[in-house]
Amino acid sequence: MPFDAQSDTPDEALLVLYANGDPRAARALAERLLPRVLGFSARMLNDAAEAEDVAQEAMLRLWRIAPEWRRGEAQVSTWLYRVVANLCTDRLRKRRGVALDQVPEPEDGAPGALAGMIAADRAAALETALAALPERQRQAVVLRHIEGLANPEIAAVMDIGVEAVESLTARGKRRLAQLLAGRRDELGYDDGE
Amino acid sequence: MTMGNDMDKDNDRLERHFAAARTAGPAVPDTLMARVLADAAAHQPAPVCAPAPAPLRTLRARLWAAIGGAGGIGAGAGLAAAALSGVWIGFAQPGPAEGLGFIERETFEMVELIPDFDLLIPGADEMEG
Repeated sequence: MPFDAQSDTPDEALLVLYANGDPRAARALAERLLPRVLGFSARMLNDAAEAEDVAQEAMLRLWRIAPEWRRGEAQVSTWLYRVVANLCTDRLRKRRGVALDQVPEPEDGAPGALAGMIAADRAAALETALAALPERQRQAVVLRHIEGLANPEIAAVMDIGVEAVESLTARGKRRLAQLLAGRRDELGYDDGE
Repeated sequence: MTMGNDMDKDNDRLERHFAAARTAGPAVPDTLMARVLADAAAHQPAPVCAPAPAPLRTLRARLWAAIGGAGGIGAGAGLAAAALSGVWIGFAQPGPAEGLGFIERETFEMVELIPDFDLLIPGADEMEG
């Protein structure tokens, strides 16, 4: 049976196949999960090299836990996002050396990246604004609105309640709206676009 | 303009940014994929080789095995010869066995090895009288 990123084979089944020695399962899992892991870590860290290291480390932990994986207890993707979130938190702590949620406002930068209103520029503007959010708000917003996780799954990733997730995403979105609104004239687009 | 309208517009604008971000995620470099797959290969358990299930044996196969398979042709031939002999005896209906006539000609005497055995039975005399 061919395994690829578009296959209907569940992540957990692929992980069991990997643990049983099937060499094709590893590639299928990596092609499916690595882009999501890398995207999440990149948005959390804003550093490509660090994001790649975190993604590799998270996948390594997945390979290691495969033989002891308890089927039905958690989704593989949820478990993986949680590992990435913890790894990113560790790196951000070391990088800042300050307590969480005390991220200083970033400078109003990257004007070159925000010059147009094509999709890439919108994405870049969002990345810049996301970097201004406190870490937990950023996690919740990225998981909800970019990675597409449901609130209960985000709650499992972040080890908090669903109401806390809703609060974090609401506050995060309000802040993002403020940050992006301040640049709307600079970006040169209106609501119709 | 109401506050609700403002929020709706903010949400619409944000959603356009989110949609752009969803399609503009970082591409996975080939080098990263290679590192991840190398890790996977290094940590993958050895393939599990489950013992093959025993095939269902037919009655014919079991009979063949019972007579020793290919090495028991002699035993099979003996079995076939015995079966044919039985069939032959049934069809031929051989006559009375000759040479056993002495059984009719001879006289036999009955000898009681314990002649007074009846004495051991209480009341046997009265019953006879």
